Amino acid sequence: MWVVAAAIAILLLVLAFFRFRQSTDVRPSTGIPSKRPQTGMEISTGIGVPPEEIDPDKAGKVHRQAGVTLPAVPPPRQDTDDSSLASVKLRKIDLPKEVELAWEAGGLIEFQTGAWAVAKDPSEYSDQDPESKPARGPARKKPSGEVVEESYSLPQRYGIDRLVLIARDPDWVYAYWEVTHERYRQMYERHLRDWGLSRPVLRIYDVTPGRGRQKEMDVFISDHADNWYINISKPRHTLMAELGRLFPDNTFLRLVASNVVTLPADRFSDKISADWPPVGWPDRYHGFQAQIGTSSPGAWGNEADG
Amino acid sequence: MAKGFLSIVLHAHLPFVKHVDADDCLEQRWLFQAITETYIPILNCISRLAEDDLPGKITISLSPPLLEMLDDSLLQERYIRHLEHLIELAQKETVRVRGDINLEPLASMYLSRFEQTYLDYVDKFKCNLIQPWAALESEGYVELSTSAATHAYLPLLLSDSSIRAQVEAGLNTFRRHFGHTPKGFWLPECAYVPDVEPVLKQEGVDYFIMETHGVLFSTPRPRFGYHAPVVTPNGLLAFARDPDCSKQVWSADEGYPGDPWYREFYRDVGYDLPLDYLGKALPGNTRVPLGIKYYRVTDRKSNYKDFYRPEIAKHRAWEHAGSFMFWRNKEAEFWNDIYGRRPVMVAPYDAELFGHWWYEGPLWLENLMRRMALEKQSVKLISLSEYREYYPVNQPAEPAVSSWGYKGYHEVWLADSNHWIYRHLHHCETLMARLSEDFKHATGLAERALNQAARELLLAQASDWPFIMKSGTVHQYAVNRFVTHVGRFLRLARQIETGAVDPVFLKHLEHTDNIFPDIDFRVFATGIRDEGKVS
Repeated sequence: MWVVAAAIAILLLVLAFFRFRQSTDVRPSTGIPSKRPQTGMEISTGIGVPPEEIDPDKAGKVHRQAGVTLPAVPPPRQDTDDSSLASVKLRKIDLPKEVELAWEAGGLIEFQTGAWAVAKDPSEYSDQDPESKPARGPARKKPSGEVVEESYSLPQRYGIDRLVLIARDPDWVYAYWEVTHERYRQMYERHLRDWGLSRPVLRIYDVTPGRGRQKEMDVFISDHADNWYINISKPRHTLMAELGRLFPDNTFLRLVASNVVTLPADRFSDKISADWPPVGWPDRYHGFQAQIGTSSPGAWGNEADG
Repeated sequence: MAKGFLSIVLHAHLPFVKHVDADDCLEQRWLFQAITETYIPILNCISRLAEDDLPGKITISLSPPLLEMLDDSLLQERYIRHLEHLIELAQKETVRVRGDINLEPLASMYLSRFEQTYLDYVDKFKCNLIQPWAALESEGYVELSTSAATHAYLPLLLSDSSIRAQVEAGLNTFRRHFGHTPKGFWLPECAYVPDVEPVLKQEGVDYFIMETHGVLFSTPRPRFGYHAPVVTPNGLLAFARDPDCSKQVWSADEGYPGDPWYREFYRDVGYDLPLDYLGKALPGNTRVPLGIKYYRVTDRKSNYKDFYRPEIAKHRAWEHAGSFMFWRNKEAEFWNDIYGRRPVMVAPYDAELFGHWWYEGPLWLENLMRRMALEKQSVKLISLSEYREYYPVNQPAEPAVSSWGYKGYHEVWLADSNHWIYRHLHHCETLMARLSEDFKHATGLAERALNQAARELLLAQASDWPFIMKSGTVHQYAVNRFVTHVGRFLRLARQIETGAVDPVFLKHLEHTDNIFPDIDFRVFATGIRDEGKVS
């Protein structure tokens, strides 16, 4: 008898759980992001970590073998029972991530308050007008009457397909992107069959003039991310990238292409001008690199650092 | 006969901070502190040298936001009030420490110093710290230059049109205040990309300064290393910062400012005395440094601080000026022997280092210039625009992308704490370029709205915001400022596009963010840098 009772109880609990999930899925009208359980479907708001919580030195742990870094994405929360094999399978077959992502992006994220990439409590950003920070009173009189500015929050997306590369230094490229849900749907509808098996990839090409276009590397990114640091170490080379999906049969489907960037030089040029041959090179400047980047001791705002 | 050249460049810059509604806030004090501790002392130092008619020219770069703030009557009034509070506090201090053999002379030193600053500012300069520089320049004692409109970190802008707008608006501001185009241009954070060159050339600029490896890594390899400029493909001279000059003055470990006899920056009555005693000298109840500091560095590694002894510090500033001069002479002889050509040593510094961070800095500078003029030595102090007179022919080369930030590239301004700003900035740039094309014939209200949108975008582009997000203690302020300017821009853009400009809102913004009164939004219209060449 107690076995039956226990079974009923468990059943009820499971039902209640799914109810709960559904109810928390509803988009809140307040603009506060819903507290959804973190699944693979979750769109990340930026890299999901408040900037100040990231140690710049530790962030972007280098996976040298792959030549790839992971931006400091917090490890996906280990959900208690949600991430069972069954639910993962179900997701792969029935719910293409991008479509889910796109709809969420279109529906939920655009209305979310808070500075971009700062997935912290939006209430912290509700008071974004610096004018109001030091102000002594809420009312402000202006020559032309009274203007009370709302606090600003920046949109998560601008509705543009865009992939931008920035060469940060001779070794690192930073990429950020946005793919509209129209673009996702277009692609998804064309490639229905294998879509669930494809992986999101940043494909980097070396397009240094005079060398043709060569595929440099594939960076396997995560569906959570909308930006990535890529460790590539190709000083003086010119690169571009495509964001797309890699299918099991190795076909690559491009969603959006990037700009072209040239990585800065990290050492002396090997080119010597006949009219201006170097004097005293290279031993005079040997070990020069170690010195570079001695800079300003600090600007204003660092007063309390000592 | 000189064996080499030395050129000292002081770059003065602060972000545009003016909160119309807030009489006193912490960030507004950056300007006030800098006026008291750096701008007036340096101005006085150069004026004294000019009075004695000593040879040798120094270069001063004044950033456009700084010029606009120095010229702003509201900020001028507020500065006077700030000084009055400071003098009041200094008077209270002389009473409080009366009879203290160590502190009493220091307290009266600060009191007389602040009173002198007040007299200088109000009576001598008539609240105008721009005109005296113009006078010194016309008399030939100083060379002036400027920087990008809001000190944007140029390599991280998306489009050529933004770089053009930053450079043009910056130079126009300088021209409005000084009536001519500067010969040199200060690249914000010494950050160079080739895309800055065409507009500099077109605007009549002759040279700029780079971080050392910007010249050293140029293509082809520079014959004279970093001891001579290279001629860029656009015909500009690119000078390299001299690493030894930097280290001696700037290094935390070996630099002069760390000398045990110099004044300790971090021990300030603003932190040490009770809040109710400090009263109005503080903004609200926030503790900030007030510039009354009684201790010396003593030992950089220890928290124990001994009392400041101005007469000994003064002596050290004399010795350190001699030391700097000695090493420049050695360096000049050394490189002259190797090259058979007189090396140029370029010593660029943040102006605020002198006086604000390094209290004795202005004195050191004056000693240095005096000693170089009066003592027998073989280095000539020149301004960089004079270099072509000595060496009209220079090696053509393409300089390398670089900056003087940590590790020498863009890492400070593109880091985990601030990279989120670029997708917004880049979007706004693209939008601004499009609006400028679509509405280039706009007049009246629409034109005013477009001009204000241009101001908001320029303000959002300031390199100060990502810098503070990365390393400052007022992180939230930088985030707020950035979000606000982008927010205002987007709102204006929406209004412009829909033809529904709100005149009240516009007037409010024109009153609040009133930088660059003569801006023409059409500077953004000139072509989009094909999505293409972010650094």
